[in-house]
Amino acid sequence: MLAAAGCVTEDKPKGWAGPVTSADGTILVASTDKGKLSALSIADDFKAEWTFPTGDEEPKIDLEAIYGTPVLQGDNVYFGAYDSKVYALSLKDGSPVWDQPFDTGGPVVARLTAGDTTVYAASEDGNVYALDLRTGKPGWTFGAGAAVWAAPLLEGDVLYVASVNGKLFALNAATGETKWDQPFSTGHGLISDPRLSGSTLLIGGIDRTLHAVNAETGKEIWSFKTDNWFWGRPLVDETSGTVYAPNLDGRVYALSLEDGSAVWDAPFEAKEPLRSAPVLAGDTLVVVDRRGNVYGLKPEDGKLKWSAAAALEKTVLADPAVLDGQVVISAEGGDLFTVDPVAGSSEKVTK
Amino acid sequence: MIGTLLAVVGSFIALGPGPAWDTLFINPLINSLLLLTNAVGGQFGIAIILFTVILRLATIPFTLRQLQSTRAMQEMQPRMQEIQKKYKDPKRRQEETLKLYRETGVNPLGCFMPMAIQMLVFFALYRALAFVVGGSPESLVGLSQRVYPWSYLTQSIPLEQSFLWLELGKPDKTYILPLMVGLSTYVQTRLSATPATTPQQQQQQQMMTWMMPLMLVWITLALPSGVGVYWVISNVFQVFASYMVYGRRMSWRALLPTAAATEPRRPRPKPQTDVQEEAEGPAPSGPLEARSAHGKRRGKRKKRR
Repeated sequence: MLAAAGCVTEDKPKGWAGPVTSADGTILVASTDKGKLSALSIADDFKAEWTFPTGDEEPKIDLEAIYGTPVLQGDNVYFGAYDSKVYALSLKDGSPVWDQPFDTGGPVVARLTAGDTTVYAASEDGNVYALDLRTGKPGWTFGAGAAVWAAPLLEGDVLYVASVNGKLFALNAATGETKWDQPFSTGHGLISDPRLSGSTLLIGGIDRTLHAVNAETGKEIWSFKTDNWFWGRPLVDETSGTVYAPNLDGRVYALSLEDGSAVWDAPFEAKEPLRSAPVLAGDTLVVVDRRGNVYGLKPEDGKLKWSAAAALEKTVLADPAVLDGQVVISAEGGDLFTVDPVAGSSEKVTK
Repeated sequence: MIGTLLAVVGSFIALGPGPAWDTLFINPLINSLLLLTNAVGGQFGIAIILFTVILRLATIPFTLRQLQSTRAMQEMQPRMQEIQKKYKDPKRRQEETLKLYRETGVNPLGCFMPMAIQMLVFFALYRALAFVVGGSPESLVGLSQRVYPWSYLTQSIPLEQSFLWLELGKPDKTYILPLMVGLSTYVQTRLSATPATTPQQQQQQQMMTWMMPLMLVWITLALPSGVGVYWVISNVFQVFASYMVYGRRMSWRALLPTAAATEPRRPRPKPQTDVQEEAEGPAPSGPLEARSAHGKRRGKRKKRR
């Protein structure tokens, strides 16, 4: 029995926050260590300018893990952590901007969304909080009825929020009041970050289905069912009107934004499940699977241009970013890699 | 039974150990847990309790066989001691021991097979719970690869982690559950202890009686509470099964730390060596009460007449 028990340990959260680049392209903010956030100087060979927490804070700060890619707004960086709190730091030196972080009452898995004056934080406690960007003081609170893992999406004055009880809400971003007569509901958890293109909102979930929902009415336009969950955020190529949706069955599906019909002859099959969102870098669709295998695809037909098998040799669940034409990938444990989307070569940039 | 074993071995050879283990044991258990969770309205804690009871009921033939073997061994202890005492030559002692096994029809490995099967189930269950209880978003990515394509199963995912005072995916920081695990393991261990034949065995058993619960308390402090819930319910079931086998002869006094639960009484010296006769002499010990054991033998004698 003791031996059996030894096989089981608490599955500690590790986080999958992706990297993000500052507006001037000089700083890359990324989680380079579990439960820590760093600002790296791009010009200075990705040298860390600052890291939060420093370890000198009193009382001590333990973020546990960071899941949501940080949000850069103005001179500050905003992010939620698994310790239930929302933090605002100065991009310049990593010092806290608010008097104290905002405690949501549950781990924050969803990426934050920021407007001009408000940052929206969704929590596992089932609430969405509208916080003042400057002070962190809460404005309105909306109860989604269950944990929220998908990032809220702000478009104009509407905030779209999806919860793990399968409900998608459209809220008035200023007041938190619902806009649709009733939420769009699937009965299964909606967990992928939503994507809006025109008036079509795309969101996937545990029901193995990618839903295209009318953003005005909350009615379903089309749906596409697969073999596993949609957790990665879909990518929309506005020019071609194509949706690229990664799935935990290890496939990338290319669908028509208009009606959800398949664009490629067959979906692209990666070796491992896909949680990370695909990115378009130049004319290459870059996809990273869970085991760090990187694939460069032709966006028009899904044919493989190149693949770097296990180039990263790490677990990758974070969304990649594009920096100066290079794809930046954050692997579990905090290592950062750049991948050349033309040649498919990769390089580890963190020491 | 042999057909099933051959099928399992064949699968392990065909698929490889890892995939076969997952396909045959882990994944069915995971999906059963999800099915039960939905059946009880998404209450994962209740599903774990139900699951434990069902699993223990399903393996009750093995449990009973193990307990019966233990009981038979307990009843043989006085005669075993006599052999130990009487024959100094190891070879002769072994011969006499085997002879005793033959005469009484006790298979010393009778406990092994049921225990091995239960251990297999426990290993699989712990792994399954680790996946289902999870406790982090990463674990759900792993879970997605193991859920059968039946939408009913995924309705409750991610599972409701709150149950009573517990967060099932996290260790219980109130120490209540680890203490419950330790206490129930202590009770279960004391009640099912086989009497020791030598001082060394006795010392080992004494150590196990205390070490096992303490180790489990320590381990539970780092385990998801869901596993602890399984453990407590499983121990309670085992005590219940012991009661079914031993009945009124189960001595609750054996639970007291001061009670010599594992200390055999010294057999009365007897000159003659007839094994059957010898068995009548010394009183059995351990969790069984001496008088009751004698009563049973008297009953057997009546039957013989």
